[in-house]
Amino acid sequence: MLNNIMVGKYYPVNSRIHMMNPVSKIICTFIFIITLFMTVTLRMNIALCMMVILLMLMSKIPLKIYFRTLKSIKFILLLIVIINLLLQVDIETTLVMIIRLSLLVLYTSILTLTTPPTEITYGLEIFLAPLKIFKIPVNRMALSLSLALRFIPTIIDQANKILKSQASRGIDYYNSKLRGKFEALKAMLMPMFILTVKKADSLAMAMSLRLYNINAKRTNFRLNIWGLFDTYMVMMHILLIMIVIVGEVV
Amino acid sequence: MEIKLENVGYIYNDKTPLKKVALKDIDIEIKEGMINGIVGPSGSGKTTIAEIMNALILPTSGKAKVGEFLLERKVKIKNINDLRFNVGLVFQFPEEQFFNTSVRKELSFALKRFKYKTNNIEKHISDALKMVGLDDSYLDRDPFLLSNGEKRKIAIASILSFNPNVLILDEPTIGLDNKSKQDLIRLFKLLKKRYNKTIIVISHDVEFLHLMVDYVFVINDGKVVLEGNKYEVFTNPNLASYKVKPPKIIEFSMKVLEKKNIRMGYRDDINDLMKDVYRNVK
Repeated sequence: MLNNIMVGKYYPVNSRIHMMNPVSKIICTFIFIITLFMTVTLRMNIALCMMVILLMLMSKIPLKIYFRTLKSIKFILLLIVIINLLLQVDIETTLVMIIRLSLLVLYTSILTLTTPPTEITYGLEIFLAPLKIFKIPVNRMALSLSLALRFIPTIIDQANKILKSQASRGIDYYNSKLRGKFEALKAMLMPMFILTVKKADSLAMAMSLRLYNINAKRTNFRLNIWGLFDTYMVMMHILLIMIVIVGEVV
Repeated sequence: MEIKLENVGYIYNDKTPLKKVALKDIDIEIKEGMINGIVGPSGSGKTTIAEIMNALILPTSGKAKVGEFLLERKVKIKNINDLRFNVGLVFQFPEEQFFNTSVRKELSFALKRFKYKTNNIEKHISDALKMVGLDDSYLDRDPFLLSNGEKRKIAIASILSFNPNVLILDEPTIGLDNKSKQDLIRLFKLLKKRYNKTIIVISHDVEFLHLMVDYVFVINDGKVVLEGNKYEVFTNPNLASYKVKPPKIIEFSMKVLEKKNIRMGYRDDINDLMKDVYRNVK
């Protein structure tokens, strides 16, 4: 039922992007997001679009998987179009907004689809390590984020089961009209909340039972080595942001 | 109500690296008015069969016939609620089935959706609770805060409340004590005998199944590997090779036959078997 949602799911295939160091992937994502919000012209957005498509192809993940992630934000995109039409914003600006949001979702999907949640945590911890100087609890932040990412598929799975249970007793979300869909979603919120809290509670208990200590110094089972390809990708992103600064800002 | 699966296959996450074949060319014809058991090891595809029979998922290959409905890949089914009104499914885990904040709402949900008369709803709810051995004091309680056994009973009652012709129960014994299991057996036998219901029990608990089923399908690795009446299936020497252990009472009879060459006959009840043993010893 909700199997089309790919947010937070890891897609295991063997590609150069999969083999990259998670730290370099996070650096690239960070640079790309800044770049994305600095681009204002349609021309530059299309150039970024080409680059994202290239990265998507390099990841060897079928393009339809990426388009599924776009499908999940179709209502937000539609809302942007409607608001812009109402405010009589010109077409170019509307297109830029749509491309920008789509690229943001697609690029972050490349990160989550090619990197297991544990690797993302590792990457974030290293990436945010300088903030420790300001006594910011980086390890706690990284753990919270990785748990949040880890739980997205679980929550989707849970929602799927509730939708099935509703369907078997008369409300079929996918085969009903708007009122039925609304009723199904309304009935789903409360159990989703209860079950999520319960799951979080049992997870916390399981971690305590295994003597998890947030402040302990951690080592990695697998060493993430920074390769030439990582350097090349980071350099490419730095070059990209420089081109955008020269082209758009200056 | 006819339920027939012909060459049904189902693949989860098809065409992705996470692909999992749950069913391969499965053929099942449910015996009407009987208690049908579907038994098999974990991961053999039992739950997938239940979901196909309730049209919650459609087969990726082959076809399933449920009453007048034909379920095939990418078929849009009209009036799907007519099918679900006739085929009630009790989920494997009650917590995945609940989505209401009180037992009353949980039990009346389907009745409202299937357009029962408002003045009859309370009676149906009360009767359903009684059937599973609970009383009206549970009506205002939160289903998520009940014990595992009570949750299981509420899950069954929420399906019994709308009185479907076919009842599918996915692992109904998990979390139940021995007395509750015996009560369930009595209830299912009553539903079959008095109301001529077709009951499909999916379980790997053979001790529970052999006490009540009439006809058994053994599933292994997504295929039906054995089927027949319970006497044929549970005494089949190949049963263990399909990762299904015969019931203890059968195991004992077979051992006696093997070691002493004494045929004890098929007994459901341990007391009958004891009588046989005494008779043979004398």
